[in-house]
Amino acid sequence: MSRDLEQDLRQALRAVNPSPEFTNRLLAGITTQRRAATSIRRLWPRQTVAAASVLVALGLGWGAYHHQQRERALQAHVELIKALAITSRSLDRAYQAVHSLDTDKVHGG
Amino acid sequence: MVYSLGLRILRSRAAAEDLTQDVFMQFFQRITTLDTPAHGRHWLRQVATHRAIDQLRRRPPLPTSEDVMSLVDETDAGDPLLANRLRALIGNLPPHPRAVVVLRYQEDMDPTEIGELLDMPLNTVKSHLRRALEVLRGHLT
Repeated sequence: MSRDLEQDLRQALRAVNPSPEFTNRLLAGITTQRRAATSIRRLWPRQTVAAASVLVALGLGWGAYHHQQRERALQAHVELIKALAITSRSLDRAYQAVHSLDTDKVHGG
Repeated sequence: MVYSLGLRILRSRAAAEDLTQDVFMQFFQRITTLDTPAHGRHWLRQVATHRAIDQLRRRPPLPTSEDVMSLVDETDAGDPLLANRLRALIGNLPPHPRAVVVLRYQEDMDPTEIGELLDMPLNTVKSHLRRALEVLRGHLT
């Protein structure tokens, strides 16, 4: 196996980024999708909070568990976004947008 | 990563963009089920590659003359003509060997990782790589 051919292949197949126009379209599409999903989910956190309150009152600690799970999911999400941004820098903005939406969701309920 | 995989396997910018959009839409629906960055990367590569192979087998995109021109990368370091020739030759490989070569040399994955990603025996991956390199070498000499 020729090392030169392998080197030439790595050079020929180095990763390329999509155009900024496409990245913007993708970002817009994802943002729209996430907003729609968030607005639907906003209907049931109140029910969840009410249920959690009852359960906490019963001493089950379910509300705390639910919050912890959400925090863990968010943290995993943030780490994922950071890692993927390194491998696909042109899509970094898309990840940041999704991240900020999720942060809003957590802080805004 | 996703766009680049699509572009190298499908050899069409429009098809690569469609693939990227579909994969990322699905990715963000499933993001809470992907626990770690490594899991996320693996998922993206796996879904993008399988979709690209499926599309090639079902209905290969026909590169337009604009595609052919736009796939020439003017920022190629080294020999841009050789790089372009290699990309064209890779584009003539059957779907699975093509995907194996792209994963090996674009994503820098070793044969074991490629086998796991494509659900393919290690010997088959090695065989695809060996034959593909023979074909490429044969066309270049």
